[in-house]
Amino acid sequence: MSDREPNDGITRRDFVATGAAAGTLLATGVGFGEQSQWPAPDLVVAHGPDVAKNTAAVIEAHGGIGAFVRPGQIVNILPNAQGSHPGTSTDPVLVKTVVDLCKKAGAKEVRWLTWQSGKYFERSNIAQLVKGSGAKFIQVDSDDESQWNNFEVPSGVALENIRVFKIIDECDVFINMPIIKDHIGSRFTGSLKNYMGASHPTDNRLFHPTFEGEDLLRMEQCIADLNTVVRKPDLIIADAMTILTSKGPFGPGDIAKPNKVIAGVDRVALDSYGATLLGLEGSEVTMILNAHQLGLGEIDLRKVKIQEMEVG
Amino acid sequence: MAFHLRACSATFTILLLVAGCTNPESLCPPKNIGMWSAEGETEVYIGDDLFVYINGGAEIYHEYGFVQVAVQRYRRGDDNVSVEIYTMEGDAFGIYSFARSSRGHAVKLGDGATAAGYYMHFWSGPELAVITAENEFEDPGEAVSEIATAVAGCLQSGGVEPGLLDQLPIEGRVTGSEVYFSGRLAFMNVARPAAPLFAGFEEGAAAHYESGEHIVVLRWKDEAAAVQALQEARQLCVASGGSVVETEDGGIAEFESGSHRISASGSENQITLREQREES
Repeated sequence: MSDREPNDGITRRDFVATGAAAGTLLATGVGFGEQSQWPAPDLVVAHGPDVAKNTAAVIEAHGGIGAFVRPGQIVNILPNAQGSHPGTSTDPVLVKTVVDLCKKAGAKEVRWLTWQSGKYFERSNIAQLVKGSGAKFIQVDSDDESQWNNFEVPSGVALENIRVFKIIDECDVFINMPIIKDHIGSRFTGSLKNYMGASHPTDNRLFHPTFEGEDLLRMEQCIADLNTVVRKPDLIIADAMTILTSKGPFGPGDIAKPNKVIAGVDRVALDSYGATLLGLEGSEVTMILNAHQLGLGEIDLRKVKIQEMEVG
Repeated sequence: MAFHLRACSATFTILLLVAGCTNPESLCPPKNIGMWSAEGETEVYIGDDLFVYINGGAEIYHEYGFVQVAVQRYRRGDDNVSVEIYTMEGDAFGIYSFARSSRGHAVKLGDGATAAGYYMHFWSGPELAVITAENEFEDPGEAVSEIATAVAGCLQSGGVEPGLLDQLPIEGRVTGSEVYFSGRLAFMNVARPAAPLFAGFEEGAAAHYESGEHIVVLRWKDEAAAVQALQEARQLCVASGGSVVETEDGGIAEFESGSHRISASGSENQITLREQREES
């Protein structure tokens, strides 16, 4: 059993608010670990037709990759590799852009983490996506218990325990890289739900209500609970270029092209913004609301400092 | 049945019926379709192996009685199209009605088809076929149609739509909006505000109407079960902080949830829910 303390929610918002009060908008490029003096916006949203440029722009607005990655560090990334239907997986160009920037900053290694099977990744463009990213591909064996932490979830409402692969903590920098899209179970998936890519697949199946009398909204609570114990992201870079707006997460379904890349640290704020791209408010998505109520972030976008930019 | 309803305001062994035509060693899906060539072998996922193929969202297929899926990809130069043939335990209308695009248009193919730009769903007996253009290229709809037609040629049609659909009023019904379901995950997607309140039904059908109304018909095994379900719905409503008001007309219960207003009326072993989303 891990003795790690549960995730204590957002702390960065306090000093961001301080930064906002000081009237400072753009990041100053202080290194990771000194973020308490970093007056960056909560969320940066880049809009434009080029995913690589958008990705670079949101990182730059957060102080540049050097604000997060120092030479010799190990970076773990968690993209969403759902499948080959349009709008279901994190854009491979976005992933490659982040990997390239991390390497340029001197990262010793950038590791793509997953528990999905080799067969899953051998399929069609997913394998190409991984190979083309330049990241080291780490497949965690779901049958090898030594590779998993079994966390107690002390503040969990629905979850008492959850297994999360250990390697997510074995890094200097963790970057969550979801895609914003519809989900038939939770209406929305983004950064909060992407952590199910780090929790054990067998445990994940128990999130879903399958029996009469079970709480239909159990999955939304389980995801919020999971987020209280997993490693907090040092950065979230979310793909909202081409997204599935119905029949998610697997599709095929209706497609929208917001042509946006969103970056931030606050999972709840980022998802609350992402939900608007599906015509929802954060408070309409039970998972986001639950996470907010657990102290994991800000759901009210009026309280979130958002920097939107056009990228040519 | 005589429902005494009240108004409530609340804030609140896998059966391997593998059709021969979806056997990976057979000719369906076909290996070559016009200028399209099959890429790699047909992948087949049976039972819980669906979770290997679909990481997130597989539950809905199981709820509808999933048996297996055969997946084949086709390539024409740089263009990619995938074909997924899901075999269900019974007729595949239910999963077809759930999965198809609500913005698509009907196409004559199999036992029913809906095309929506880059993708198409059609069902034939126990099988649901999903044809998807996986990358952007010129006129993906034409490519999808060509491949779907070839796939339909090797599937046996003759499925029957569930009889419960006949309980949905015809007048003003938006064609193609009908959804049939028997599980709660689908119900939650079809009628999210009402879904937490009603349990134990055997099947349900829903449709949108030109008036903006959304009608759901739920059927229980017998009248007693339906009456009990309504009582439990009322209790859940109260438990969630709502108020209960007796009605005089003996047949309507109203639930308010957010911007939704839902009325319920009972008849024999059925409850009909009418939901009108209020304009904001």
